[in-house]
Amino acid sequence: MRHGHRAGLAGLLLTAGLAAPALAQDTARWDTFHGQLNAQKYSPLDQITADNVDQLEKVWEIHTGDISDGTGDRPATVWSATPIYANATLYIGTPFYRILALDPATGEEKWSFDTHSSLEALTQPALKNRGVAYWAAEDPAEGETCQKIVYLGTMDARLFAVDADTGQPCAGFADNGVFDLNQFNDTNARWPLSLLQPPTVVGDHLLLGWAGKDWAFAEAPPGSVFSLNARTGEVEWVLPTLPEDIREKTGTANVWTAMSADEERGLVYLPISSPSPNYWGGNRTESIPLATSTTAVDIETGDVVWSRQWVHHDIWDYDTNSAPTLVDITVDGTTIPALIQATKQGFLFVVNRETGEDVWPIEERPVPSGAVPGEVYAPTQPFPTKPAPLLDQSTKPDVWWIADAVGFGECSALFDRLHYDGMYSPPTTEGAGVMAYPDSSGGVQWGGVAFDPESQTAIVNTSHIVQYIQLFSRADYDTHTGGSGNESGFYPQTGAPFGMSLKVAMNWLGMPCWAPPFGELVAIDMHTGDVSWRRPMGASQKYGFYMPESLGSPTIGGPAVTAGGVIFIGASMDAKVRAYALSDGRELWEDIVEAPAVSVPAVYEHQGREYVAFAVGGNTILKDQVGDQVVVYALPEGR
Amino acid sequence: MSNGRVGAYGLGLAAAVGLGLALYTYATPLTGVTGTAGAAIAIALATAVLVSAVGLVVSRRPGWRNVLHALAFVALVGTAIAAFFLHEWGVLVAMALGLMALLVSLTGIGARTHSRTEVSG
Repeated sequence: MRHGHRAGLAGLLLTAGLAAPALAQDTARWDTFHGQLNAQKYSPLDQITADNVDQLEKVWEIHTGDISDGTGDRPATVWSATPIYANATLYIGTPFYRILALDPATGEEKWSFDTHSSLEALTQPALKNRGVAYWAAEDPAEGETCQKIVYLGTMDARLFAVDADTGQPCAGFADNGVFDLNQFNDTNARWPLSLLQPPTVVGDHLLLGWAGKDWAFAEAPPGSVFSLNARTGEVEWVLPTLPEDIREKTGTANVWTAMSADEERGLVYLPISSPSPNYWGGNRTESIPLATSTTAVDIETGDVVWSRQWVHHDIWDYDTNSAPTLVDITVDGTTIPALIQATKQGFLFVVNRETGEDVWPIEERPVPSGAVPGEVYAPTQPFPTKPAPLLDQSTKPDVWWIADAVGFGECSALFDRLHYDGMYSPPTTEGAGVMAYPDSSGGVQWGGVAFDPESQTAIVNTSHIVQYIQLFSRADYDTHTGGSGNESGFYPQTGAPFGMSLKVAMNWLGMPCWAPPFGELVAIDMHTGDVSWRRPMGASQKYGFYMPESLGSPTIGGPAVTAGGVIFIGASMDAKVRAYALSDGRELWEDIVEAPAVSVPAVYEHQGREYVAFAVGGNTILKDQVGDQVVVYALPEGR
Repeated sequence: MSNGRVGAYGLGLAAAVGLGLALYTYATPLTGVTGTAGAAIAIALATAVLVSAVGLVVSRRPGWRNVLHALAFVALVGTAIAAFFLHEWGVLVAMALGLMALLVSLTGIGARTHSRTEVSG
């Protein structure tokens, strides 16, 4: 059984006999969240190579001042912005919802813009920001402002548009430079439609998803994606992601992460999240075909061209959480316009991006059922046959004997009380609950997959984290005490008959109960779908103590890859940024930064010199260490 | 100067260097362990080594010296373990040198005991 829509544009292209346009990849652009609209995070720059990357030096750093550790009245900051290079300027958004325009060579501030946002954690447990977006008119009007615009969203659902040269608001955009998305928040409006992810700019279209509040309500704002005119802010089309007749009794299935686009084909690809509530689906037993999917949409009309659902009736919060990476790959001698969708489950689904059809077979396989009242379980789920899963989610992970010994058997006792029959084991009220492996942090997070088009190698970082989920009847839940944190704790799922808890499997000292590695960097040969190499990535760190790098670290953030044969990535718990060899995964260089660099690095050329930039913000999912640093590296001048 | 005193001075010097480095890594930005509990533990343990060394320099009573040697040894090993997992390699080297100094100091105990035996015999 295959769930999805196939139609329209792909068929037209094929029947009309049009030559498939190739992805542009010869220009050094880094002007979107994933570097390029195809989300390859690839730079053709080759000044920095595997042979000289160890000579990198810090050429500048700044501290934005927009930082909070959450100990005072202000919520903690979580900053995952990709610096973007455009208009001979480095632009970045901050978690205090300011835009900074910086000199790419020195870090000197050209201008800044403050949205004066309320700095309240209205939907997320922290002040979050993933940066800004940039648009430039193809035919700029001489002498007029706002022919180049920088956009920044806020947690209270406002999108600001400012002139890229001056930082002044663009009066012609929406309401004096501010678009209020919350004006469309008319169903189950329990919280604002937070704009934490910058819009995806495709031609003159701004594609806008939004973020909400996980695990709190059964009935929530229904998912919707907006296309705005980049110049005026006028709404061009809206794509509702939930069927009309069930929108009020469920919610979300929103797009909270970046999207990718194939401008030549006129398609934008939406990674769509799961419906609400996250861990019980008795209120949404009907088919919701776009939920937890990758959906290709006509950029001009918003019509769905094809959609592939990666989790049927998702009751694990396995949102599709990263922009699919668009690649042209040669398999068995045939060049295929493909798309790689990384997932929280640790799968890489590879399909033809024109049609949504499998590149390597994706099989529907039976999965376990459960016995929670009111729930209706999907009998099968899709499993890709290639590439192999990034982690083994078929059997219960081993207990880490060191953590178990330190905990005097605490870990093995916990594992014995947890049910697990593969990752699609349904949440339960029984025992200590069900093991969530991979957990809702992934697998793979929003950093997604980088791709080197020369060698056709996909690069992806992954986490191995064990959590456990337990459902509680409403009466039992109300008697439980305990706080909720950042992706850990008790959550009510108000409106559902079950509240829930989500906890990380750790011993009393905070050591992970499961066997390492805790995170890896993986390279996959996309000619064959086989793993070229894999290695533990980074080091876990607690109280300042580093665990051996052979154990790896959970990772948040993504890699960048260059024509110089170098992979740049932060992402690890130990607050280091690193370079690895594309050829074999050797670690080539590292530097200590202020906090975990949980963003995608930027690689850009300015005045003939290649730079690598990291935003260093931290994420409480990894550890309580925050940062406000932008740090930029280059080879010494003259080399 | 006796071996015991030389060792105690050496131990004190190593402890002071280790403590200084531990303080530096705790207080300086971008050391990887800035302001962490682990770095604070390393400071506390290195301080214990230094206190033990000072005690060994000033104390003549064998009982006290045995206690101080034991304390110094435990604190040295603890500091070294902490430094290893904090990647404070300078502190680790200082503790290794401190351990050698401690051994020298311990030989002083043996020499003194041997000398007393001769006198009393």
